[in-house]
Amino acid sequence: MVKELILVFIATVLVNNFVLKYFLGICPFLGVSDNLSSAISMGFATTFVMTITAPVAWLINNYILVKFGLPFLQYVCFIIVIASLVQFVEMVIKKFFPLLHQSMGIYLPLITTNCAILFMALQLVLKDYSLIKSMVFGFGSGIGFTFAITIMASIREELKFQDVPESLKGPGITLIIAGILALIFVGLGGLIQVK
Amino acid sequence: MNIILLSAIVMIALAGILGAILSFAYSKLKVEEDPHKEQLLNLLPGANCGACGAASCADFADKLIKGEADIAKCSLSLRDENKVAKIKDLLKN
Repeated sequence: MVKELILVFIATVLVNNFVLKYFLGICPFLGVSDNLSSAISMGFATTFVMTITAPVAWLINNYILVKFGLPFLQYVCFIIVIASLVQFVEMVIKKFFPLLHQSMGIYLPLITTNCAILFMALQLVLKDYSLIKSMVFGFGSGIGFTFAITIMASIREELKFQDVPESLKGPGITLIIAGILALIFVGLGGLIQVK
Repeated sequence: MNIILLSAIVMIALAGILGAILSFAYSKLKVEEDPHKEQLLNLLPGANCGACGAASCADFADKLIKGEADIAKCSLSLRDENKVAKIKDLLKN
């Protein structure tokens, strides 16, 4: 049981990393990654939302939607849950970390439309995970997102002191780095056999 | 018919529960803001167009209160003289 949970965790963080394998959540990945500290806090905000969304989505799906035969409401219900959680996170951050709130700016409410979170919620229904497994899955995918955005932000902070060709400055070099990172993560694919 | 009714009930219940939780959290976590800011925000267009150079109307209102920005930068000054006069009055106090 525990071994299975660890496998799910490692598989979601490294092998099936949401950002670098499925290319989900690219908007904050490119938008907030120019500064390491705000990237990390963005990662943790997303992780928090994902970790709570996973069990709530599981409960709603299994005890309400499946029971009443309404699986087509999945998308709407999950989006409502995600949106309210993001609202809650924004309130907390605005109250306790006003500076962080300013530096994250528009990207904080945009977690709502972060496709990685909706994908995670739909995926745990598709994969038929148990409650604990889906919590680990949600937490793992959040950590995977944090991992990717942290790597990206560290590279981009170093990049400020490098001599980048004029035509590649800004978005160009950022996308190239994202591509190279994705290639590296392909190499991790053989780590675990995931069904 | 039944399934439509059922989905409506489920959605309303879900939205109601989440809304109740959120409004409770809001009452606990409300940030005290300058009362001027709220009045200012009501007078500003609220379109968050960014023409003034600030990220949002709320940001612009902050800058106005601190005296870092000029109301003339807002596109409101081209359209509504009355509101601009009101905002100037408000900023004097």
